[in-house]
Amino acid sequence: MIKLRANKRLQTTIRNQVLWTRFGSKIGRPVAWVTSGSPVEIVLAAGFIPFYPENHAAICAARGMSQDLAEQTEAEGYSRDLCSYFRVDVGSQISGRTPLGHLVPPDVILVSNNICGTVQNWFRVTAERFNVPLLFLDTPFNDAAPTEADVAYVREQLVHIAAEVARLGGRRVTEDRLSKVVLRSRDALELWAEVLAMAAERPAPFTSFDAFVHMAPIVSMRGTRRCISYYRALRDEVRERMKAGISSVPDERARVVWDNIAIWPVHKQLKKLFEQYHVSLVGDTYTSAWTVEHLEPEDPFTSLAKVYTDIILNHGAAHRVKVLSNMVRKFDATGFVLHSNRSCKRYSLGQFGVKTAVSSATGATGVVVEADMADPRSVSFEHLQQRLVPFFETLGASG
Amino acid sequence: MTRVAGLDIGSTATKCVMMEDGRVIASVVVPSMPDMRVAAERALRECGAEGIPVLTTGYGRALYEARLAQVSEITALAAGVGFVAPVAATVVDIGGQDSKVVRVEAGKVVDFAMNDRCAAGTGRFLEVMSRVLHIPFEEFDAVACDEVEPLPVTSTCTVFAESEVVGLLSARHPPARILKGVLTSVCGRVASLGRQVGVKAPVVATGGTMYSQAVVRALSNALGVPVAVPAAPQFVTATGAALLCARRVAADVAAAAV
Amino acid sequence: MVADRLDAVADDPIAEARSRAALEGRALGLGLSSYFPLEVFDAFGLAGVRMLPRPMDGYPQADGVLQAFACAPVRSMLETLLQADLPIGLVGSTSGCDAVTTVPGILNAAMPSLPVVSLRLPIAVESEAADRHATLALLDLCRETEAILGRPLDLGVLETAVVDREAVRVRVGNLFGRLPTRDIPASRAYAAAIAAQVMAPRAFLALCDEVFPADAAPTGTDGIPILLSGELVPSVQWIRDLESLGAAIVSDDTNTGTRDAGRRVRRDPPNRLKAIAESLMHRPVHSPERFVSGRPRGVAARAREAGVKAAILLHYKFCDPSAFEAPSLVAALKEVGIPSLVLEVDRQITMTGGDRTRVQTLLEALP
Ligand code: SF4
Ligand code: SF4
Repeated sequence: MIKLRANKRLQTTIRNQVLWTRFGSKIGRPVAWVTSGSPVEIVLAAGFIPFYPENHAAICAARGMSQDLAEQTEAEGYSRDLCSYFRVDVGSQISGRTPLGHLVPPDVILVSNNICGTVQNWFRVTAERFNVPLLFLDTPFNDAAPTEADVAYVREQLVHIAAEVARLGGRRVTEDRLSKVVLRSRDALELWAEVLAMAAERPAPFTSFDAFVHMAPIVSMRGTRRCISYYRALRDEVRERMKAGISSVPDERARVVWDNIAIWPVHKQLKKLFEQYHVSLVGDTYTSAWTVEHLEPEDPFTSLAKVYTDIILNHGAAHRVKVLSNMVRKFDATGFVLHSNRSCKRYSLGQFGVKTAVSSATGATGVVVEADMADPRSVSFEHLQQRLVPFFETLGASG
Repeated sequence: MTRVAGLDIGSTATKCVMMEDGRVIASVVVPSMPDMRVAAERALRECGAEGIPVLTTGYGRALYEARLAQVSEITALAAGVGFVAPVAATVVDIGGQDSKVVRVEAGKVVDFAMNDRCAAGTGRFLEVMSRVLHIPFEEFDAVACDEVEPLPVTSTCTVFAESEVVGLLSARHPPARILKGVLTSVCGRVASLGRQVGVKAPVVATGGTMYSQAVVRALSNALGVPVAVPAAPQFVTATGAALLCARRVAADVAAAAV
Repeated sequence: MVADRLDAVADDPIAEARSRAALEGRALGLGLSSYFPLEVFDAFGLAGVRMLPRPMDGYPQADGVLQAFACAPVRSMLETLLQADLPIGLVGSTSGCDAVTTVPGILNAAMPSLPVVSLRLPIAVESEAADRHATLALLDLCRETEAILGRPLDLGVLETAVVDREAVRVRVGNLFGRLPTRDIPASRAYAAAIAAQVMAPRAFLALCDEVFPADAAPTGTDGIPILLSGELVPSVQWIRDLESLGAAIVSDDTNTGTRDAGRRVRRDPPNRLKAIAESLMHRPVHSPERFVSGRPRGVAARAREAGVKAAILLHYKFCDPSAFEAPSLVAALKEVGIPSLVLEVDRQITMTGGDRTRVQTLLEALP
């Protein structure tokens, strides 16, 4: 298999980002800790350096540090049943251990409940630990799509948040500045969408296993120029591969889509298992959460309000069925895997019903696997294998 | 001169300890199943403790009606440790169905944490794995000797861990290394239970599982401090119950005198 | 006799709901969360009742549609609905914790014919924008309900329902107010609080008049004074089990008890729905205290005032809101010298052997 050149580039990009964050905070740029679903464009426009605790937790997990860190948090009395990203990240705050060398402390914390209720509590705990202000963006859970009233409510809060970050050490967030950042976000989101869409080709030149890794910049660097240039290069490389007919998985025999976050503790083993069975993981609901449309630089506050209220985790099961079914069709998949992620209730509860509905809508075969995105104690590769191998075989793939 | 008894009616074994003037003079253990009430009576009889004041403790503590009083097994454990190892600041007890970490001071509970919900970190987990590996408990020490490097067993859910172990076996990993991994996992769970209360040295470990040196060593490693095991680790709780019984009797006598 | 009636209702609230529907000849309006305003269902001609945990051995049906890492209240709620043995007119849910928020979607998939409406209540607090949005959300809910039931909300009935339901909460609040002086055993107050969730408001008030006459001598309780904090108490039996171990609850911080009873609907604004929406937003738990350590401190201060010697934090396994709050609550209590015990309960309605051991140890370890 030919490795992506971008893998190297990713490492450098992330390393530079870490260095840049550290340097920026040293020369006095204020730092904002934000959730992955926060309107980061506002803090960027205010001149803050953003830091993403969820992303940080994923990195810790991928480096095999998560159990250790999680146990630190559990020792403070937090239940093992709480989201493992929370336990890993707070464990890092407690112990000071992080693959990034050290953490840059926040000047302000921005949290939105559009991805879950967990982050609301997690970031509150963090705000108390660092004794910094907490800004909260309340995004009403969707019935179908955000209503006009929802958008107005969220917009009002965004304007308030913009004023607050300016007051807390940032620059004034003018519509003009904000538009520029929004435009940069949009460019990166579009490039990322282009990359992911190419997996629809046969054979898929790029899979979700690649996407799980290459999503880091879209999560934590969107709104910057470096993010755009990163994805431009990635897009070009994947396009080359597509034209050359290079498959990500040798001799692709089946195509499958994925629901939920990656299983970081066994990421590499899983990737191998898919390769061994010649199964391409062509799409997933996780990395594609960062391909939103309708981010418009005109009237940026309203546009941000819409986009950040409409994200996938702020919807119920019916919406998930729609997204997954579309994905199955678009990528011409015959199967789908639902990762029942013990850590993430918003993402996971109700997947049994989703499975039935997607199957009957598309005719594809589904399988539910039990695991956890970051806590190795709740992951068993053997269990995954026991579920996935018969599933692959049903799809006509064999090892 | 006054004889008293402590009766620890556990979910798997019932232990009876008889004391006289602050000394243990007899002890027996009988299986609790199938009937804890019958087991309690049998233990008392075999111990020669019929007709003397009895204080009960353990899961079935309320089942023996002719008792003087009953206390929780954690209170009794702390009292027992205060007697057999008065310097201990922390007690770790790995039982058949649960595990406990108790911070103690002069025979009294300061803080405690107990796991009785998930088999991981209890004797039950060891039992399951011993079956899967075909290594009986009595052979643990011989198999999991010092030279053996543990193979990590990461899943704590017993079902997951079982398939993980089966997977390791089918990949032809030596059972001895897997067993070591299992011991590390169980003790790791107990250690994280301990972090909830803060493990303070000196640490004493009790419960039937502590008859295995391999378990004791794994526990020391997991806690990062040496662990001492009293002479009869299985009887500490019953001993505590007997002590508390003696104290009650003395208090009653004093009250009657007033 | 009348006391027996209170216990009977509280011990099987779902049975009471069923017989009430038959008696009144109305379908049930089931509120799934304590943040759902039942007065609105009353005003639509439904018998408004709250869904409560129900004694059951397992969740055979719910397990087919929901993973095991959801809290017992949600699993038991789903099980009850899936058993489909209740005369349900409409189910009302309120977005809140992650588990409850996913329920309507799960129900729609599993029982497409069961009508469900949800109140998308904002989480933000102390903001006019949130209050305004809460009102809009409630209006949406009413519109949807009207469309499903094919009949409008009766404003006259709404008026009465608001007044009656408030009287019920005040009455329950008063009962809990008597705990510090140990006038009545806590199990009686919880029995009333649970019955209040399913009985017709006026029937409940009448029963209370009989069970707790104004001139009754205090029945008194002994036991070590404790605080009970948590979401829903699993059952009255669970409280009785706690009392039998020698604990006397003199301070309450549960959703079953004072947290729910503390909701007040303002009388002055002309818009009744607005007042209801705001009352939900301004409940004790749904307050800014939720986001800063203020809430734990408040609970600790009240416990101290009530002379509490130890605290029990009743947490459902997999309940995120409680699990996140536990460490700060434990710390706040410790600061005022109150030791606490976090009891993690699952689906058992009565106290497990392990929990008895924990509680007994806590009480035995007190100086
Ligand atoms: S993993 Fe799920 S629960 Fe955890 S922070 Fe992310 S969205 Fe929230
Ligand atoms: S018990 Fe906790 S998780 Fe369950 S519904 Fe209530 S608040 Fe949500």
